[in-house]
Amino acid sequence: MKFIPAILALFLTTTGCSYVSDSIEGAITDRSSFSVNAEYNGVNTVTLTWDHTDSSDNFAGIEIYRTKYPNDEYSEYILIRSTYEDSSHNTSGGDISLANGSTTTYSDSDLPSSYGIYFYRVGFVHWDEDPSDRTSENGYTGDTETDYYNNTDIDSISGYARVLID
Amino acid sequence: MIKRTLTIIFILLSIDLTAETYEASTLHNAVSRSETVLGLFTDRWKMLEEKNFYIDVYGKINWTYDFNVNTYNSGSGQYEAVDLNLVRTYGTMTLALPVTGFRNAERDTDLILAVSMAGFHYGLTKDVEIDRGSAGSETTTDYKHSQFFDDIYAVSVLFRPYIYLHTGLIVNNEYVPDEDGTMSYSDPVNSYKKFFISSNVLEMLGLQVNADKSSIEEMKVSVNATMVYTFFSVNAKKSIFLPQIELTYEYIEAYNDDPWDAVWVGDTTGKTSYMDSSEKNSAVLNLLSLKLNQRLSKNFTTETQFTFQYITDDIYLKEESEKIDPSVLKEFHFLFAYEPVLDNTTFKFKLYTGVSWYWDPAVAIHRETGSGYDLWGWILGLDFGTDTIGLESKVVYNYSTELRKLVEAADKWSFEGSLFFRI
Repeated sequence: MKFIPAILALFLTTTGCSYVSDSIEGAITDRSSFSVNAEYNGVNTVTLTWDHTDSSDNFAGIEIYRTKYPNDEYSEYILIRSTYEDSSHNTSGGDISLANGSTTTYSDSDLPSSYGIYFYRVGFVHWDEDPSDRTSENGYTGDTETDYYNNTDIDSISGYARVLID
Repeated sequence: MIKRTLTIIFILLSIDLTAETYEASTLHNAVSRSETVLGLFTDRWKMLEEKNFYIDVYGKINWTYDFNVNTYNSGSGQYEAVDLNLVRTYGTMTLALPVTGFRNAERDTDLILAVSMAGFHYGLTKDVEIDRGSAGSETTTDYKHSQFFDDIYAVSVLFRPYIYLHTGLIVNNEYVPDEDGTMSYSDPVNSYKKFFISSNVLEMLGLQVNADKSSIEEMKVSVNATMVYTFFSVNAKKSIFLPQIELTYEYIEAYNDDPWDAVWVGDTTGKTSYMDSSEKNSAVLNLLSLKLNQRLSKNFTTETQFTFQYITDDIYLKEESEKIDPSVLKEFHFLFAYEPVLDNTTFKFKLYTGVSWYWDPAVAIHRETGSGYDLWGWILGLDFGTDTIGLESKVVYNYSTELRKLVEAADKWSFEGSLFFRI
C-alpha cells in the first residue's frame, strides 16, 4: 500500500495507453523511428545526414540502404554500405566510420547508373546477444565479420529520404 | 533471430488474393465504428470485476494483412494499389484501491475504487523489405495514412457483488505521419472528446451507453439468466457444470446513408455520397443474442451463440441498387475448448477452436472469393497463465466476432497476441 502514491503519480504522468501499446508494436515490427535527409550535389555524390545515435553495448554498426529500382517508393531496399565490404553485394569496400554509433553523416559516391528518384534509409544494427553471451554456444565464431553477418539484426531504421539523381 | 522468424511466419501466412482497392479513410471509418476503446475497456473489466488485485496491466496487438489501399507513390508520382497492413493495438493500466479490504468469498461484499487508463491505436502500415547482403533480409515498417489514438480515463466504483459502475472520458486523436513514414505526436489533425457510463447490477444486468452531446449512438443491455436463477432460487447450487446463459439486446445506429456504408436506407432515388445530411435516411440495427457457455467435463467446454437481427427500414446494396432481404440470423458461432479444471493452482490453460457464420450486407463487397452476404469462419486460439501473468494468442479467418468488428477483414488472415500482468 505504501507504493500507492508512487503508482498514482505514474498514472497521472504516463502517456495515454494507446501511445504505449503502439510504441511496443513499433518495436516488434521495427517501425521507422527517426528521419534522414539526403542531398544530391548534382554531380556524383548524395550526402545523408541524420540525428540518431547509438552508444549501447549491443551496437554493431550502421548500414546505408537505397531502393533497388528508380522512381518507386515501394521498391525493395538494398545494402550499399556497411562497416564491411560484403562481396555478395559488390559494395566497394566497407566504411569504418559506420562502425561508430555517433556517426551522423555519410556520402554516397557510388551512385546508380540509371537516373531517377531514389530513396535512402539508414539502419542501426545490433548484435543479437549481450556481450557476455556472444559465445560459440550461441553461434559466435570469434571472427567479427562472420559473426556480423550471422548474428545481427536491425535495431532501428530511419524513414526514407527521397532524392532525384540525374 | 526470434523477431526475424516471427516476421517470416507472418509473411508466409499472408494470402495475396485479387481484392478490392480501398481508400484509407474507408478502413479508418470501419474500425472506428466497429471496435471502440470503450468496448475493449468494458470487455477487460468484465474479467477484472471478480478479481482481487491492486494493479493490472494488459496489452493486445492485432495484425490483419494485405489490404489493397489506394496510396501515393512519391517515386512515380502516381496513386496505386499498395499492400498495407492494418494494425490495432490496445493497452490498459488499472489501479484498484480496496476501501474495505478485499472480500474473502464471492458472496461477501467489499467496496473498491479504481482508476483506469485504456488506449486503442489503429492505422495502416507498410512493410519495407531490406536486403542486408550477406546478413540476410529483414522487414521493417512505416506508418501510412492517418493514425488514430483513442484513450479512456476512467473512474470505477465496485460495490461487490451488487453494482459496478464505470464512468469517464474518451479522448480521440488523429495524426498524419510525416512523408518519410515516421510520425511525431504533436498537433493532431482531428481531436474530440466524449463521455461514457457503464454499469452492471448484481452480476446479472449490464447496461452500456455510448453517447455524444446530441444522441445515443449505441446501447447494450444484457441479462445473465443463470445469475438471476441462482440469486432467486433458494435451492440453487453454484456448480461449474451449470450452463451460463446470457441474453443481450443491442441498439446500434448502424445505417445512416454515409459514404462508407455499404447500403442505402429507405430508397435509392437520387442518393449520392455527397448529399446533404438532411437528405439522408437512417435505420437502426436491433440485435438479440443468446449465448450459452457449458462445461461438458472437467476438461472440455463449449460456447454457442445465436444473434438475431431486425433492421428498422429497407436497405439497398449501393453497388447494384438491389433491395436486400436481411437474414433473420445475424451470427452463429460455436467454440470447443480444452480448458481443464486444475486443482490447487492458479494456472489456467485453454486451447480452443471454433466455427462461425456471419451475415452482413458489406460482406458482399469486401469478400475476395465467392458471393453473397454471408461467410463461414474459423478460429484457433491458446490462452494460458496464472492470476499474475498470462498470454493469449489466436489466428482467425472470417470468424464472426472479428468480422463484426471489421467486415473489411473478410477473406484475410488476422493474428492477435496479448499479455497481462497483475498484482
